[in-house]
Amino acid sequence: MTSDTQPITTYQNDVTVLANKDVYSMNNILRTAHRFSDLYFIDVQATDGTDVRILLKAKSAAGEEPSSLEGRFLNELLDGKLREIIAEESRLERDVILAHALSRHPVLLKEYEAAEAFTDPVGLLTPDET
Amino acid sequence: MNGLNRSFKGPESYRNGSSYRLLPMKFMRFRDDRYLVTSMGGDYMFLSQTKLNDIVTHKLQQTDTLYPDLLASHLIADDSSTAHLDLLAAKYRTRHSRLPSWTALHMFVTTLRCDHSCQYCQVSRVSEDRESFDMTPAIADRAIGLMFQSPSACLKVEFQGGESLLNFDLVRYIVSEAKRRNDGRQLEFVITTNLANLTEEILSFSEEHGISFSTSLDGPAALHNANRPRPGRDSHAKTEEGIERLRQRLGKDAVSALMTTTAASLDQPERIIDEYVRMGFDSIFLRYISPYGFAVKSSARIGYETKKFVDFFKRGLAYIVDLNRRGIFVRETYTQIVLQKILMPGASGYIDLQSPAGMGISGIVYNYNGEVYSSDEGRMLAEMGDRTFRLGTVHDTYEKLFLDSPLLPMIHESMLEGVPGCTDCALQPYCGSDPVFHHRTQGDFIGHRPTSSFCERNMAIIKHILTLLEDDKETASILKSWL
Ligand code: SF4
Repeated sequence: MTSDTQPITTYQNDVTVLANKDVYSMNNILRTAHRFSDLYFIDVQATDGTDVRILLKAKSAAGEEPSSLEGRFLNELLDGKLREIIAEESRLERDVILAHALSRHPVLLKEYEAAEAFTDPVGLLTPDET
Repeated sequence: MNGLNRSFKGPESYRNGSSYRLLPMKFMRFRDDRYLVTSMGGDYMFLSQTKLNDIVTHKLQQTDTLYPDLLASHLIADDSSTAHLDLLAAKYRTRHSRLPSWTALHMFVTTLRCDHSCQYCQVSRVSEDRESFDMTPAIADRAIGLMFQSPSACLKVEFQGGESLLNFDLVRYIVSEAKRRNDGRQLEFVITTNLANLTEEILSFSEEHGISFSTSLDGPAALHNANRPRPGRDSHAKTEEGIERLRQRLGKDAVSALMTTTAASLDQPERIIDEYVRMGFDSIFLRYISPYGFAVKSSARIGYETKKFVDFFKRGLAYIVDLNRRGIFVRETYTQIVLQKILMPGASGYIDLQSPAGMGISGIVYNYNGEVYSSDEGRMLAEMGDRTFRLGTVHDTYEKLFLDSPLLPMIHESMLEGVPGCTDCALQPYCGSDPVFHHRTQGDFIGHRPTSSFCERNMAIIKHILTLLEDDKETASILKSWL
């Protein structure tokens, strides 16, 4: 379908996916949508309710089956959810590893060696006062 | 599973309960129900979707057979000691060990003049005008001074062109001066040349100073000569003769060769590889054509879709593995680089597969006219009118070139850790960032990964290599023998 007001040609296999805001973060929705931006033009809109509406418009007529596309998008959203759990749970360890790895000096001090892995006893992660 | 083969497990492996913590990890759907999961240190495992879900939602039991391997691969940690942090940090540090001692590779463009007019190179000038296109000793002096300000303990001087040997007097001058001014670094010299102008004088000097050579060999004579025209149409014969003379004089390993894949190469990987084997090389680099040295109008003739290159690469790699199976030892260089990144702890020296990008950090270019570029590709773009990657000139200070130029923002912007698409990609520890490629093909240093041919090519090749390691034991052992 084309129209004067809509410069993008749309095809029958355009797909709208609804994602529940209470389950999926906007960050996750946007990252997932970006992954599909090779073959689709994407529009993300918040609705009045609990959903975010994601419209995927195929860039060419050879787009995939709508049901398969929708399923793939939902699976990717789920993967994104797992990624968020991992990132959240491992954030402090990641920061300490990076600080330790990229410092010219040993960062893991004696006090730290004896401490719980997910505490920050020597204040590595607190920015210096300026 | 990354070389871990555990027949017996200690008693601690059979405790019940689940009190592990997740460590930073990335994952991607690989194929069917399998996920590739990678750690910050580059360890990898293949897991089913169910298993991955169980791990992330803390449903995995310590009695699970995968548990010790997850610990060993630094995907989870299960005690209060910080040993895993130390280990992981040490791995991460080793992978980035080139950062504190930048810059090891210093490329001197001794001249733009060349006797070839290669299809994929618009940079060189077929001209006798020495004044306009040759580097002068005064410029070389400044460049050598900058080189010795690099903190790197090893300095590799690479002579580039045009045809670098058309200005051999300057090559001789730079080698002598660098040795005279050496303040205790390990110095190495490589001449990149088409070998058409190799003389007795050059051979003697190279023998005396331990200089090695890098040349171009695109395949059998018909293909090579079509890609690399020169008067007399004898580029292939000249190259073969030059390789032979260098080996006789300097030893077998004194010369290496690089090939460029053009559209005409795509249907003959076996013939190209056979030619390398016939000429006595034990490695071949199946190289994608760079989009820098030629105009857009040539790209339709010599360029190709990424998918076609990937098919060519896979077919070539299969043939190389088969040659190894038949007792002919030959390696594919890109596969070797990727394997090192997957299986070895060290840092890769290959500029195009580094994050932060290798430009400036791993290599720097002093152009014939005194301009300084962050990479050879950046220098080629400048010859075509785009000077984005020019850092300054040899008359600038080292600090200005490295700290007060466009270099740091370019490197910072293009780090995979912050690039949309790469942030979540499980191949990140094995991949790299190529700001020049993305600037040239997509208009900015980051690019758009879902449509980037750099991403498409590397994702396909790295996944293929991981698949071979995982699915085919015989091929895996051949590939591992290349390390
Ligand atoms: S360039 Fe592509 S393959 Fe490489 S890390 Fe980024 S997303 Fe992954």
